[in-house]
Amino acid sequence: MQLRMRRISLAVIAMLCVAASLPAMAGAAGSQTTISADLEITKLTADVGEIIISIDPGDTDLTRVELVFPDQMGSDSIKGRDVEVSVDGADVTVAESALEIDFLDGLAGADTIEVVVANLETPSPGEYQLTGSSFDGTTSTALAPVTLAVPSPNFAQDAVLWIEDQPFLHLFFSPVIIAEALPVLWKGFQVAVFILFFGYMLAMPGGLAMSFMKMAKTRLVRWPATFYIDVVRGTPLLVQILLVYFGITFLPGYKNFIDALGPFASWSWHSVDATQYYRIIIALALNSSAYMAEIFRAGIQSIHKGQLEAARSLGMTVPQSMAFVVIPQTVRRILPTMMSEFILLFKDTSLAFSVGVFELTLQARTVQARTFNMSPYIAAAGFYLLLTLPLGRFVANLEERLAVAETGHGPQKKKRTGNRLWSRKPVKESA
Amino acid sequence: MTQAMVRIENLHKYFGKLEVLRGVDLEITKGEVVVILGPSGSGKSTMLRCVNRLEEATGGKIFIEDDEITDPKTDINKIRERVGMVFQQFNLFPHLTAKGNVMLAQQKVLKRTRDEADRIACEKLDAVGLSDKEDSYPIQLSGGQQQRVAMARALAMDPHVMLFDEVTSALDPELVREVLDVMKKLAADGMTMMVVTHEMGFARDVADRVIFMDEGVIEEQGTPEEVFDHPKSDRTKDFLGHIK
Repeated sequence: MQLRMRRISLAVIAMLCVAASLPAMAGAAGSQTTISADLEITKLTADVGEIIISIDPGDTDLTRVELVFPDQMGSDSIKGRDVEVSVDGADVTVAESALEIDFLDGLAGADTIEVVVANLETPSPGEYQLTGSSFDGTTSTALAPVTLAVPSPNFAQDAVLWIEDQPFLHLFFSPVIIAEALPVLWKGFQVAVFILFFGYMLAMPGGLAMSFMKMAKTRLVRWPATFYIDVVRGTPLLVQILLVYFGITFLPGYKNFIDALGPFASWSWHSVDATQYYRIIIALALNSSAYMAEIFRAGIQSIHKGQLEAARSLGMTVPQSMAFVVIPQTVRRILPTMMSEFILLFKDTSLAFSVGVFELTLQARTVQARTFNMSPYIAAAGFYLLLTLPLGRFVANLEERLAVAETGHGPQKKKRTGNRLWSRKPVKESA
Repeated sequence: MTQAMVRIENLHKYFGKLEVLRGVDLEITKGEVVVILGPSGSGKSTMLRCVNRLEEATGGKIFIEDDEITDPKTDINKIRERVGMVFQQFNLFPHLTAKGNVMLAQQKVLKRTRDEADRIACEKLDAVGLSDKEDSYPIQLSGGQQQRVAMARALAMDPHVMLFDEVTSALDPELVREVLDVMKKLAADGMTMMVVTHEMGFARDVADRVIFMDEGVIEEQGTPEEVFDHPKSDRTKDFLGHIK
């Protein structure tokens, strides 16, 4: 009986103890400093991550926090410069695998403090404990540990790791280098499109004027245009770019002209200066206008002479006949060719790399030179295709539709003959 | 005295060294229908084209209602408003509808308003029997229909004289009739017409005067009966004999 009583009393005492400790624990939850943490993988290869730690100071007058990272997280990799604290005046000290943060100016009333540790080596997949302690000026309290989960690499990350391990493939298709190059390549792409757009716009009126000059009856007008077109079409664009891009600066009065332009000559966009843009755009436009002149001339001359005669016989003047009868028909006829010229000019913008204009190709080359890896070029090619492939498809469709509009039926479908290289059938010569 | 609509005086035309017209004299009065016959290369089309200066005359003078069109000072665009021309190859504007074809020059040359040009276009297309085709594009029309649109287009300019340059030569035989019918109606309405054609039946029925040209000169002219039934010149007899 006595024994039983003692047992009961022990149980009661134990219960009382638990009951007594309850309010104390509840108070501690409201006042003590707590942390929570999140691990994020920041690299394609899953070997580098970033830990975001939220510190809730509770009711304590927090003056200092010490965070201890798991040993496997490579204490060497924690660098002071990679640590960011959301409260001003926080002093960060990195010691071994521990991080000491002193709040010299207090918390400034912040509810939570965020600490971001970037460029952290991630250990092999598994769960790790982040521990630490808080200090309120008088006492040091251990923090409740937080579990950090390092996930296993997913399929994509495995694939990336696999490619990066290949001796040959990674030199051309390195996802890490492509991902790194993408932002600058995107800039270069925008620069290339900018040059293309204005070069093309400038070339059109020039080409139109020259096509009329070349069709003129007077030799004095016709010959300069013919000479220009022949010279431009007969020399490499690269030579023309070098000549024009640098040659412009030697023109008398160039300096004064640029000074006179003032703000129009002093802006820059995506690491390319205004005068660089102007010079490369002029160089490309001068080249393209010669090709366009021939496109316009062929287009205008392909319109049957009877069209002009019919318009003239109705009393329309030559400019009227041109504007309302010949040119509208010409536009429809040359539209596909003009779009092909657009595509060609876009590809030609890559030659601007030779004079140091940071367009797509030069951006790719810069990353390539730094990494000794061909992947940036592959990515740049992808950027070029981004525009040329859909446009090319569009031109092909347009050609077919215009042919239907003009003749009532589309172009004859080419019959596939067995003369493809990989055909197993013997080659048949069509009669 | 009836007024001369077209007067050609000693017209000469060279293409390089080739003399295509060797002194043509011709006077056409108002309301007269003149059909010009002749073998290929006889200069009949060239003469017609000289009348609205699609070809520049090398020598001689051409008057349209007392205005000398061969004078370089003449505003040829003003003269052309009075001379309508229909071509062998139709020469419709393929990027415009039938109505668009008829409206364009009205708006640009005669400065008619859009509504007015539209109304007249509908009227003229109706006159050539194509009121249901006004929104069709030339490619959607048969040759005969295209040629009738071309006529409506010329007529919409209210010409004083109409030139027809082998307008049925490019047509399938069964389509010739519809085009000739329009021309007959036009002749009956009193239009002054110069017609180069190989349609002898049309010449006999409609022409007030038939002109036979050969080697750049007018070989013979007269009423259809005179030229067809009692030709005087041996060349005329020979030509008519070949095509009969």
